[in-house]
Amino acid sequence: MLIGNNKEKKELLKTLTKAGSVEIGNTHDIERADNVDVGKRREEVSLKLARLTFAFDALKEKTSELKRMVKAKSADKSSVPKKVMFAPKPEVSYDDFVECTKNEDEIFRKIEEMNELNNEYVRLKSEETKLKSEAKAMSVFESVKLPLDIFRNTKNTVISLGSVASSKIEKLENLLSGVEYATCETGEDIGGSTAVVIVSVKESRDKVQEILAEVEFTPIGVSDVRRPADIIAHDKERIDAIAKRRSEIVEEIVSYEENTLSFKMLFDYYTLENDKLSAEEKMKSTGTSYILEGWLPKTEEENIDNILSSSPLALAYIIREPIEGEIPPTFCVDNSLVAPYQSVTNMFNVPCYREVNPNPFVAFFFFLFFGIMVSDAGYGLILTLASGFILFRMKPKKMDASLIKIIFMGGISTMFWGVMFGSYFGEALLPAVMFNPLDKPVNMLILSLGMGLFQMLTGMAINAYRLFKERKPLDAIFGVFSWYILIIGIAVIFLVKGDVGKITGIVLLAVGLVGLMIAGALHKKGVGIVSGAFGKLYGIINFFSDLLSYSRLFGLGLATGVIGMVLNQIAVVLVELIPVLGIVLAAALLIGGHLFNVGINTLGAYVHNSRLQFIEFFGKFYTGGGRLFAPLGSNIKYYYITDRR
Amino acid sequence: MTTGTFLAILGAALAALFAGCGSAIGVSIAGQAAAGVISEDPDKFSKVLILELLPATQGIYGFIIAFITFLKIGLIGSGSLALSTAAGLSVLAGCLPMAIVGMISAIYQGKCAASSIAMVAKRGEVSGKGIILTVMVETYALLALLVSFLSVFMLNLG
Repeated sequence: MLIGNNKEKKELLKTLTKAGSVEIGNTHDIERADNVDVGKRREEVSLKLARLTFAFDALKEKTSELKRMVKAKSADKSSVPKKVMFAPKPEVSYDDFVECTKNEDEIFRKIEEMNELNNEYVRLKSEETKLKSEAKAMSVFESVKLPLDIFRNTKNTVISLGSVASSKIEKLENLLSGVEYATCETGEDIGGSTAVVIVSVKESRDKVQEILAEVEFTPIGVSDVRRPADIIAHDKERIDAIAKRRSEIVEEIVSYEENTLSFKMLFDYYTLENDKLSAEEKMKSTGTSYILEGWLPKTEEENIDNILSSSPLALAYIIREPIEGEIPPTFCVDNSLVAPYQSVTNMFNVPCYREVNPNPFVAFFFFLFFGIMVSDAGYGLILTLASGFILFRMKPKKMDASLIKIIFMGGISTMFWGVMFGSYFGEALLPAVMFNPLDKPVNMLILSLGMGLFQMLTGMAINAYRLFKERKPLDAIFGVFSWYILIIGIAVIFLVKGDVGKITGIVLLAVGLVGLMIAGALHKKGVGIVSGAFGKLYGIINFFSDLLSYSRLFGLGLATGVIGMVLNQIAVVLVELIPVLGIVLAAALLIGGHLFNVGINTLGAYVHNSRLQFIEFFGKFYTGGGRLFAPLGSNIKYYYITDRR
Repeated sequence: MTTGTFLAILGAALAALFAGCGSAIGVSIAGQAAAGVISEDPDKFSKVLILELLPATQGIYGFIIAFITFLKIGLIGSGSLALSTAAGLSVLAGCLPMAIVGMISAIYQGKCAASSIAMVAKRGEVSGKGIILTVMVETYALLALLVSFLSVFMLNLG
């Protein structure tokens, strides 16, 4: 909690934004302190953000149009800005970052110029559409060699100039022959329509109109003093001019690309300004002072304390541990190997503040299982090299590009298991260190389920730890350790030969079962004791279905291996059947096929691996339902601020 | 060729056939939903493509079982075996889980994928959750793959 002088509120928010490690929470209701209205300033900031968004959109849209123009050979390739794949985020120090508003007038002027160009572009486009439709309508009258205003009505005659569907000309002529003093001239058939001019005396006007309506006559305006052919030529000229100007505009707008970095910096800046306003809204204010409450990670406590105490601002603050009933946001402190796996956990649910941090466990098991699922040393090498290259180019900071980092580590795990199973691009180039899953499927199944049992028992152990921490030792002993005794019992029955093993095993099994029933009956009363106890026994079925779910480790590995094998065999057949060309075809098939296999199996490994963590592992101990720590100043998209932790 | 060999090939064909048809239907269901989303927001292409591809795996599993069967009965590689009718029927039976479960799970996974794609259309940031929901259906295809694989591969055809 922090109290300070209203006049210095902005300065304080700036300090906190720079530190980037305090999340502003809702200040609780305090007598005679009110919320602050930031509506007007918010409007200004939103307007600026909207203009920057317009600039990004316009650049994107016009660049893709320019690319189309390059393809249609109507623009030069050199005008398209080059995009660098996997470019690292630009870096900036916080003080330089704040300086970006210095020349914001110039930047917004540039955006205004872009806006005007864009408006002109839209205007020209609608004019072009109009001209095109006019030229199309006029083309029917190209054979009329007279200026259009000749066809005006005279004192005693009515003249109708227009077009009729060519198929109805005969009908029109027939009908008109029944009208006195009416004559009709027709032009050539152009695109199914024919130009007609009907001259009649005023007296028969109504009759002629009726006939014209019947043949669906389309009149044309006769105010223009030019001949139709001239009008068409003029329209075409204008359309060409518009097309030229339009491509000029496209190139001009795209040339603003060079300002993208300043646009992006301003965008980040105003996003932060917007966040500061939201922070102010959460604070309370009296006549002269403001009150702020927020969260900060324990690791940052000293740092923030230093910043605040050495600050020249007039403020008073306390930093304390959260008390019971408060729900602080979650900030998981993980090392850089584990941190990428936060993205996996958070996809399921963000851990609760008071919960065991599951990320190190998730990282370990995800890494372990990824390799078994892809299980090919060659593919592992491809994954490691490809993601390593991207990481090298992007140089992502701690929390960025988690997926690529996970795949990079997964590639290493895949190489390890590929060597264990002796699989190199679907071929057994070297003998397996462990065994070949295709030769010994039962061993592979046992390995998969064994890995699963290992993960599930780990999950239960974490649960026991949690229960002890929550002072529920009985639940921990009966609910978790009974499982261990039960499983050891089963293992003893199968593994230890002779009657001694059998008896010990059965005793252990029975102890485990009774323990489980006691766990189910704890905290229950009356009939609940019985139903709770038997409910726990039913849990054994769930346990084994969870365990069998780990057979997917084998299934996915099998899919990778067999597809790779099939590809190689087809390639061999191609080389044998077709001379020379066969080698080319086989090479294309091998490269395309193996890349496809890597792709689809990496996707499979990622999603099935996540599932094992979420359902089988988290089901044992994890609840989640927390909220991610989102400190003021962290919401920046394009830049990386260097001088903060 | 013996009746047994024919039955074994029939089993392989059924696995590839039904699982492949199921995947085709499933991917098509998801693909139609995906096309709708892309028409509104082309930037979501990569997200919906992954979802569309999820029901494609059953076809691959069916293909794997067919291939393993061919390998086992010597159609590929070490010269054709003359299978007894009983042995052929056993191989056929082993192929059935992949054929039937593969087809049905692929179709239903396609429906699930289509719903997840609709979810991505509304909220792009939850595509990961949509993938997980859709993959739940695939578990049973994977189990069928294992059952078919183990029964075909472990058979002693003599």
